[in-house]
Formats: sequence, C-alpha cells, structure tokens
Amino acid sequence: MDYDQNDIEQLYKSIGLKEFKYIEVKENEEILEIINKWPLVKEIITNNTNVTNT
Amino acid sequence: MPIICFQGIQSGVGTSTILANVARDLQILNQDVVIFDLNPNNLLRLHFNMEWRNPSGWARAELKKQIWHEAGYICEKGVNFIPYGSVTYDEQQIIERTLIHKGWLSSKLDLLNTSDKKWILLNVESRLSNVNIQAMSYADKIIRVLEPNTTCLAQLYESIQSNYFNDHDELNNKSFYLINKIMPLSELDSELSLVLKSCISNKLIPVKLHFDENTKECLAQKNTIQYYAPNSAAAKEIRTLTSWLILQYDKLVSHERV
Repeated sequence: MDYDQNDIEQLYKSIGLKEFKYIEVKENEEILEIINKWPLVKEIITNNTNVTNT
Repeated sequence: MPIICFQGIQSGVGTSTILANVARDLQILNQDVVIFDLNPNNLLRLHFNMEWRNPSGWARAELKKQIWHEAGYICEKGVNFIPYGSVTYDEQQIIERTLIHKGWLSSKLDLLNTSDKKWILLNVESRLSNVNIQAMSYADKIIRVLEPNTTCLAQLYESIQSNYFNDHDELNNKSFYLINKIMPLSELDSELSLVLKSCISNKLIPVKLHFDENTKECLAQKNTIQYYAPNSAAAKEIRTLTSWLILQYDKLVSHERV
C-alpha cells in the first residue's frame, strides 16, 4: 500500500523535533515517489512495515 | 573562539577526513586552528603526517600522569593538533570512567589559553560517551556527518528520536547535518539526498561533498586535499564548507555584539 500525503505529514511530525522542518508534501510528490520506491526508506521514515514474524 | 564539534552519524562516514581538510583550509585562510581529537580510533593525526607507530596523545599522557597538552603537535604546514594517543580498550574504559569528570573538557580548553579568534575543532566518535557529550555541549556548533545511504538514514532517525537528543533541545538547535560521499552516478544516492533534504531542510548544510578518489588518496599520502589535489572538485567543495563555517561564525559574533 502506498502512503498518501497526510500519512507522510503525520509521520514526519512524529519525529517530534521543533527545529526540524516538516516536508512540504504538496510540493514534493517526487519525494513521496522516492519513499514509496525503496521499501527500507519507507519503513524507516514511516515506521511501518509489512514484514511479520513467523 | 569558535568551537566546532564534528561527529559522524556512524563510523566510517569520513568525519575525521573532513575535519582535517577543513582545519587545513582554515589555516590556509590565515585562521588559527587547534584540533582536539577525542576519538579513540586516533586516526586524524595521520592527515598531518604523524608517524603511525607514535603512541603520543592526550589520553595516553593522562593515564601516565604526564602533562597532557605537551602531547600537542604542529604539522609542517602550521596546523596545531592534539591526538588522542594509542591506548588499549581497557585503558580507554579507565579514561572514560575515572578521568572524564564533569567540566573536564572546559578545564582542558581553558588551559590551552587560546585567543578569541582561534578555531577549536573537536573530533568525536559516533556513539554517545561522557567525553562526546561534553564536547557537544561545549561546542558552538555540531556538524553531524552522514552518507546518503539507508544505514545512515536509519541511524539519523534513531539518533534524533533518541531520548538523549530529544531531551536536550540545545544539542538539536546547534546541530547541522552534512552529506558526504555522494556518488554522482548513483540513483539511490541522489534520491536519498533529496529525502534527507526534505527531512532536515533547515538543518542541512548547503554544501554537499561528493565522493572523490582524491580524498581517499590524500590520506594514503598522509596529507590533506588542499596540498594533495588543490584543483580537485573535493578541494573546492571543502573550501565552500570552510567558507560556510566562517560565515556562520561571523553571524554568531555579530549576534553576540547586538
């Protein structure tokens, strides 16, 4: 499943640092494409994974 | 005096090399520089032509109850540096547990009796330790070095979400991030650089350092990039980084005057 702009915005905010500027998602569709393209990048940034323990 | 702390997000990202090159560049630009190597890997000194087998350094001197600042050196091109020194793992634990007391670093820097215009560059390892925390707390700015790869991205997120950094706003406020070793033809490097830029846009130093074989070779020659390959792209990028640092310090001084 791909992440939409709201998901990404929420997840960036979860970093919780005042000094960090959140991604301007509306202007950065290219960034969203990159995040969705590389599974590990997506997992790190969104703190989500599709991998389950067996 | 401007005090800048250099720390890699993880080991092997090129922090000591960048620091050595910036120090040499500052010195070429007629700035006084002292390097204080607080990284037990004790490698920074090799950029300044110190003998590989020479065990001298502040940590070794402290252990042997000798005068630590007499372990300082000046290279033939004029950069002052204090190496960590060669110590065993057990000795390193003794230093960390018994010698590094509260206020240790500030007392050491006071003893150096440096002028207001002298740059002090601190080299620390990537993990948190007593001496690293003191260095980061005491510095005016922290330059945190990372490569555009997924392990650094993971370490960056771990680091900025860690309790220590989250609980110490002043460390966050003075931390700046520098991307090093970008491979120009790598799709992943280019895309991860964009992701990093979007994540930490106002904390990312507006200078990117690209991978350059000359940078590797200059250490093998026990030299810095300005003398080994002065016309290389790497030397020009280091000059841009050095200029950015000088500009930041000028802003800091102007702000203090106001």
